[in-house]
Amino acid sequence: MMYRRPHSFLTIGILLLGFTSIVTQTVLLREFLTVFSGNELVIGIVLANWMILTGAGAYLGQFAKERFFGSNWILILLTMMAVLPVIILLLLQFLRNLVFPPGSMVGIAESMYTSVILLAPYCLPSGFLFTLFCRAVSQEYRSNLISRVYSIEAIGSVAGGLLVTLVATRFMSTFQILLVLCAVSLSVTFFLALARWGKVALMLYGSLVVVLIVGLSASGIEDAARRFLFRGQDVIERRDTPFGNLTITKQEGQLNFFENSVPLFSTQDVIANEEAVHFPMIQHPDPRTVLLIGGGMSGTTLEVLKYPVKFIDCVEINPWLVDMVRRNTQALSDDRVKVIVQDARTYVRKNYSTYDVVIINTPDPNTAQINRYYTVEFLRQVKARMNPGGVLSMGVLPATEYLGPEARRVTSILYATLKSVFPNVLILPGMRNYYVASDSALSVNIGALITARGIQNTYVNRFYLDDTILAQRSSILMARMLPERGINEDFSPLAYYRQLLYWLSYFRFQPYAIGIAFLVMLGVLAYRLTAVSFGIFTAGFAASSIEFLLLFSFQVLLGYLYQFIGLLIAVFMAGLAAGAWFAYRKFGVATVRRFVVIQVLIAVLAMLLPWLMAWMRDVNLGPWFMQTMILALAALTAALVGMQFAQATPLLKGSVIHVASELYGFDLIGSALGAFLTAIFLLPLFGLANVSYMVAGLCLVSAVIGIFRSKKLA
Amino acid sequence: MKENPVLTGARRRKFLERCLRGTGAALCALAVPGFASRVAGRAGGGTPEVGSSEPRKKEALFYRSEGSQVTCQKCPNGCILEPGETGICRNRVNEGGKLFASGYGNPCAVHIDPIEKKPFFHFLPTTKAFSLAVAGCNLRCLNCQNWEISQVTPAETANYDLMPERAVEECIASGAKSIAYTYSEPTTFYEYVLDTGALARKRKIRNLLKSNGYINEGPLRKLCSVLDAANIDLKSFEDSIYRKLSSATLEPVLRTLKVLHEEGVWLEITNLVIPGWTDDLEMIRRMCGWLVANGLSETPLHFSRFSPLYKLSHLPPTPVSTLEKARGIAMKAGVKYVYIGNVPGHESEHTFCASCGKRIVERLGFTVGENRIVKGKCGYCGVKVPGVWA
Repeated sequence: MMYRRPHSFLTIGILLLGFTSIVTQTVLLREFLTVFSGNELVIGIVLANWMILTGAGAYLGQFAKERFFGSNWILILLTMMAVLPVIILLLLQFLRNLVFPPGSMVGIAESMYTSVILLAPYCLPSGFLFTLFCRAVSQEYRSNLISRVYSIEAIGSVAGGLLVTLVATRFMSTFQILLVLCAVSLSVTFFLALARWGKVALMLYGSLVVVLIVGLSASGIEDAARRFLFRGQDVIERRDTPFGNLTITKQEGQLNFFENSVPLFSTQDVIANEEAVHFPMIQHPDPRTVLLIGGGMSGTTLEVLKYPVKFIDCVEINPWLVDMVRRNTQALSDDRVKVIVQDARTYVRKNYSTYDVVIINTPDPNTAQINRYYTVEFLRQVKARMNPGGVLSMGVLPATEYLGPEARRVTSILYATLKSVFPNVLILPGMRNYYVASDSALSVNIGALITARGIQNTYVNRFYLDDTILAQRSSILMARMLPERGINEDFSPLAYYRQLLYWLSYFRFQPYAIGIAFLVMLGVLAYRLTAVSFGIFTAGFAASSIEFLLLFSFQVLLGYLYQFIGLLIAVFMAGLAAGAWFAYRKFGVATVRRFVVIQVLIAVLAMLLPWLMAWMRDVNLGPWFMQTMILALAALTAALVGMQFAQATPLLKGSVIHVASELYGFDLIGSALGAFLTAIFLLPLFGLANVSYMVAGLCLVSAVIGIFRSKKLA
Repeated sequence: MKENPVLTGARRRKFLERCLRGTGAALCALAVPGFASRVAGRAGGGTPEVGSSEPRKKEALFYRSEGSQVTCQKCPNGCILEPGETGICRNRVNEGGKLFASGYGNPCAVHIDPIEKKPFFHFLPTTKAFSLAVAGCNLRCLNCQNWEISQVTPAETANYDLMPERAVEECIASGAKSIAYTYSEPTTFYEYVLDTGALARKRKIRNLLKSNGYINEGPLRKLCSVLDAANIDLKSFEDSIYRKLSSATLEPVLRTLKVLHEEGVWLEITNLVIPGWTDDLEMIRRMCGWLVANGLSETPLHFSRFSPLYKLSHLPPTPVSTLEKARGIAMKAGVKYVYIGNVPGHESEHTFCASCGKRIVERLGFTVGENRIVKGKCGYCGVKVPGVWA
């Protein structure tokens, strides 16, 4: 009797592997973000390490001794994977302030090795397990069924991905999710073990469940871990929201609001609020309508209310933050303050109110998401909502006695970007560098203007700001603006790139080392790998690079939609599974020619990407259309990669275990590099279009290698 | 040994294939127009443009050489440098067995500040200080405000050309009454301070030092010959915190305070209160006890509010009431003039007479309202108020 479907033990095991690893990945990634510095670089590093470690685990699978085969080791590894996530989470939280100086940001090298050390115990076995499954399945049916394992695992991932992003993160804390995951995994593993281990399984899993679930949830260890992250402060409220973890701490009557461990604002911060508001407000002769983009929560509203305004619109994306602020401060209590819970980009595009003063008070553009509030496209849209003579302002980077080279580039880019929209731009160095822009004339004599208008300030007044000195500092700063005018654009986010380099310069880290290391690695791989393995590597690279570009475009085109990431990943996984299944079912015997054709198709898709995105931006056929298009593109890319994976497995010579470990390993390593490099290096530096062409170029090179090789195979 | 022709053919094909792959990969990377120039051109951070030439060097004071090896004796780091090596301060370089101070006459930051900003509250109030800094620092504070100039060498900053004579001229032209050596760490650009200071003295310009106080006794005493006033950061009163926060030790800083006092340099002390690091009130009590026991009870003490900066960016600002508690503790311990810094509008910006308790200098930011100090004495009770008032 011949079954082409793996029996239930293996199918369930593989599904579980896909399910738990995607949930653990999503949740731990968020937690790394919460505990370390939350920019794309750190996400990229953690994600890349995740995939590289899993790939390495799979690769190591081929060296496994005979005794690792069979169901016992599968069960042992599945049990490990059930228990480890919670432990890693707790370790991460407790070790943060033991290993690194409390309150300091964790550097780039530290993020790198910490994530390797913490993730290795999970990722290595998970990759290893994939290879074991491939071998087990293929051996049982005496045929190469790697692509089936690949599809089943992807289906598990789809389920896990959807569940965790659409449901779990909305209603549960990180710790709860991992605890539930642990319970689910243990139950499933127990079910699998029961048939093989009998009573031993019952006792083993019974005690594990009791110790872990009851012990951990009853002991309050989660609270202890969180408090440990904010030593010396009273944590009075905390909440995992889809936008990140929000924490309020109290010290001596001062409330501090944190997002992902980074201070958002504190009460009693007079200087920050006054500078952000009065520098622009005082420029306008009679400000009546004011738009606050971010920052309204910190109490800047109270400063704006010192002027006879009609209303203040505060745009804030995170409803949970608004709720916390309302319950704990007076910032939003005045009738004239209206809170709009929406992404500012969406709001500015759709709304028709007009404003005298617009204050952008968001964090520095050190993530691609926040950079969207500093691009020339956004500033133009904002300007279209401003009344004649309106004033816009933003504050980026701390003002220092000396403008360092990286800070200088960020500042120059932002200055040039503003200058391309507004004829008058003034940089005022307060605690931060404030950029004030308008069609009307601007003045640096803040102290005198405040006195003349009779505004009662604690700090922004002639006692603290000497207008002559401010003017002098401002002109020194403006004279240092670089003549070359790089402009921050949606699809070419230069300011974000420069901001990342600025951040890296804290650690005297050479980012170009990454680029060079990658090129060397690419050269070595191209030289050493078989055409098929290299093809899989490039496909993995292209797929995750395109996936990132799609996410990025989605942000730009439709505004920030956190939930969409989960959906896109799920669609992507489904595409992989469908592609692999389709190729397995329909193509019959694998040929190098087909392999090459698929590679060329991926290249074509990459080449079309910038045109499609530009077209969608210009035509603007509505959000549903754009969303569907982007999802369709993701599915198509994934399907091609899935097909290619299915085609590759029979092409590669050697035992199943060797083929599985090699292909899965290089697929993951390619994906890791694709995501990482695109996010932090290629996209910000070269822009969407050029990166798409580079990805296409890489695929074509790989296709050419394939053609060259096919003669030998034939 | 003869090679099998088929094998060589295969090998050749393999070689060609590999070459193609290599070129392919390289071409792919170069496909983007101007990749190399973009990376290089946009990367080129750090090239100074004001004085784009090499920073000037002058032979350093206070070092000992053994053969080609040099031991710097200026600060407690005591760097031992082989030829070509630069000290921890990123300023001192061993060139052929001689120690050189780089950036002599090449400050990277030159500004005019209110003297209160340093902060000096008992020294020529409301005057302006001509402030300058050369890149470099012998400490590695996690919360450095000026890390872009303190954690780099003078060769990495864009510098002015401002030899001591010109610095003094510019100071006079600006109307400032003093030159402040500040922002980065002035004891690392020691020779420049010393020479400029001597010239300034001749022109009746005062010399102010804003420093971490991490310097050896000999060099400090020599420096005192040109100094009029110093504000020293006492970062904490715990050696272990000094090590973790600043990569330094406490002892030398305490010695600096004593020496400056002894030498008759007007001294003020700044203590930055960082939440979770230096806000232990018990430690502040011990610190104030030490100050009083060492004759520094009349030395103004500034408790300064921390803001998240540089690598310590995940901490909140210091709560105002913590600073107020610290001030209360200091006053109780016998420190007579205690101020709170970086909290605008706080009433402890004013000076209160240590004897009669009346407000004698009304300060609002960098301006002075009412000033009841007459000839260095309290206008109410006639008791001497320590400081340099004219």
